[in-house]
Amino acid sequence: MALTPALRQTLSPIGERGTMQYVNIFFMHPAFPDVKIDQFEGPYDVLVELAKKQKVNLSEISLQKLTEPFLIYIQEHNIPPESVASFIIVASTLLLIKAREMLPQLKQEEEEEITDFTQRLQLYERYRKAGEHFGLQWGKAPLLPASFFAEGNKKATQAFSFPAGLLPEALADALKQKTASIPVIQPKAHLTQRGKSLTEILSLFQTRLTTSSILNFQESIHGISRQEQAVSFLAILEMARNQEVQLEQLEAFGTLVVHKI
Amino acid sequence: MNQISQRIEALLFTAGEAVPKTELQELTKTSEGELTAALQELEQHTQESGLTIIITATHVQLVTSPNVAGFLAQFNKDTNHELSKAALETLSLIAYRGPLVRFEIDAIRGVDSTRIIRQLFLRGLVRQLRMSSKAPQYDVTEEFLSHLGITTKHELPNFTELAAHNLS
Repeated sequence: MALTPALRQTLSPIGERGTMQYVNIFFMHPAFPDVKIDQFEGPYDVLVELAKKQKVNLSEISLQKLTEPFLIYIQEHNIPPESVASFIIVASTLLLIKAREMLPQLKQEEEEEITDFTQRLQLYERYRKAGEHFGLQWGKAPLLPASFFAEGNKKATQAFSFPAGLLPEALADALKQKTASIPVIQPKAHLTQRGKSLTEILSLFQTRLTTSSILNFQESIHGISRQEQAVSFLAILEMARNQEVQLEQLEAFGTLVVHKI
Repeated sequence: MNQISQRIEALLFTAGEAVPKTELQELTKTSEGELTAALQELEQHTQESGLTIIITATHVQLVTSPNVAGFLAQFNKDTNHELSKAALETLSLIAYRGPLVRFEIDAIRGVDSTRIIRQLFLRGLVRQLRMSSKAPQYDVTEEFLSHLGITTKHELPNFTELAAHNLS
């Protein structure tokens, strides 16, 4: 009988080239009851929630108000390693938006990236809202299959089980063969030494400013790596924001003087 | 109903679960166009009935009709498994924009969705389709539609608007 579930499971996809096929892989079969669905939220979800709390929309102007709450969220929550990168991307984009607001000459920079970000965020919000509707309707008035009220659990009988008489050695062999056929990939990228962090550089400037009340920024960063120079710049901006220092620069690219307050 | 529609109805009834369209074509020796026409006829025919058919991109299933869903719900003691926010938004993307590749889901959600898609697989709510030699695409299953009490994706709220890919 062609339609028995067992046969369907073993049926390999047949079809002409280019036609859409049903991929029949046992661990993807909808037969596992009670699988827990992850509660974890992504960075966009966090942003949308923060925007709701602060009663702002997701435009570029409003997003800068969410920079700090977002950074606080990252610090206070244990974000799973696989999602850290996406949170950092969002955090850096928010910082960029804020930096553009603080330094008008940056206005032209990264315009495309920011527009893309805000558009994507708004797109995300629409599908998220549609998903909320699914949550309300879920299981309220389901359409049921033939055997729904039948004795015993149909799903449980369909779950994958190893064929009878399968030896562990055979499985080990199959695994060995499979792994042997995977080509070893030589990494193309290489790691560089990590520079000083923002906090480290911040405290470095703070220590220097305890001994002298005035600093020439360009002199202070002379000879260090570009990355550390960038971090140093962020550090003095942060100090200026906290009103620890005052910055003075008479002309574009001129000497930047840091005054202790 | 014509003979093909009758045969398909009988096959769906005896199968008792979702049947791949390719398999229905093979068993009834019909082309894709003939199958679509037969399914349309079957769907029309079931409008007066307590049963209906759910149609996805790849599968067809005979189920109880939305007309009797409220009546049957009183006998259904199956505890309702709630879905997380991550699951709901991922399902929303797959339902409206599917079939789509994982990259697109990741791009709109702003986060890697491998794990959540896998979990939705295990719950039987999404399925993997493969256009030959390209990255796998994902689409929602008849099980997903049946939980929402609808028979095709087109019954989802604002479907035409949210399914448009150039949406901004």
